[in-house]
Amino acid sequence: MYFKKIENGYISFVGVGDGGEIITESEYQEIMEVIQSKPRDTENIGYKLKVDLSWEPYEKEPIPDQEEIDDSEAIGILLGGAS
Amino acid sequence: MALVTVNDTTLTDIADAIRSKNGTENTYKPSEMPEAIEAISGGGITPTGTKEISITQNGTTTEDVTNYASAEISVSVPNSYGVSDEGKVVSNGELVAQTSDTVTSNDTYDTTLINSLTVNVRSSSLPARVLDYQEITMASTATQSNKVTVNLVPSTSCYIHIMIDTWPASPDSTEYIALLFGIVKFTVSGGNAANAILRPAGTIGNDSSMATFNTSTGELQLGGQYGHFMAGTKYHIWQFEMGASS
Repeated sequence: MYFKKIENGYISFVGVGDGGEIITESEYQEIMEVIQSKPRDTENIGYKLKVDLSWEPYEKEPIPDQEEIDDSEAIGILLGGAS
Repeated sequence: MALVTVNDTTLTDIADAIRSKNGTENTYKPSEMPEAIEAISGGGITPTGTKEISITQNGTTTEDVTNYASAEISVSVPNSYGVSDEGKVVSNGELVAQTSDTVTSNDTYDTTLINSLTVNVRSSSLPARVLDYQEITMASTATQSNKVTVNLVPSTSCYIHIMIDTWPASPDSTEYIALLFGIVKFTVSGGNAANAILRPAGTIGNDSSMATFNTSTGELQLGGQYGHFMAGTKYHIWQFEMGASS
């Protein structure tokens, strides 16, 4: 079973299972093709997929400065230990 | 004794009747007629013996048992089944087709009328039970300001496991640690049942959220300051609970 998730007039994602508006396999493939041909984001501009399968540019949020983490903290993140 | 007069045709008729009954062509004097009639009384042939009759096929048949006192009938009609009866069994005296069935629990089952049994008994030894599963391909990148919602089975206590299926050929961004590796395990935490913050073990800076899970509505919001779910990337999302048995 294929579905598409629409939020605020934009297609958030398509999927397999029961997670949104049911669509046919052909529509799923059509949307997938559009997704795979998405315009490349720039540093400041991203793209959202409208329900008519056209791309709409938007201004991206600035990327925050990242704090360095030590190896042990990184290992903890990677191994997904208990929270 | 008195003398009487009888027409000769009457005597002839009586003699004819006698001959008709005894099947002879004898002639009879009137004085011989009583004895001849006595011999006739009690009717034709007395049936004797037993006639053996064998029935070997269905249908109607006629047997002459006139000369017999009884008939001994033996019936031995073989079963006749056609191609259409293949696989059928007898139930309540009739041929019925077997059917298929599915069992989901350990037990003893009567399979007389079943020709195909699907066994789907969940193991009770598994510590986890999957509540929901979805495979999604992102249309655009989910970030803290562009979150997307995945509807899952509502649960106040569960684990969310998100795995990247296919790294996009041209990712838009590669800065975020959690997306550099194939598997990200989240544990639903937070005391408030309304919102639970999904984050990997440890923290990144001051905000470690990558997604939030509303345990009341079952809505999983993807996208956080350090959790970008990339456009064109396929993710597998499992929601499961621990310690459940079948």
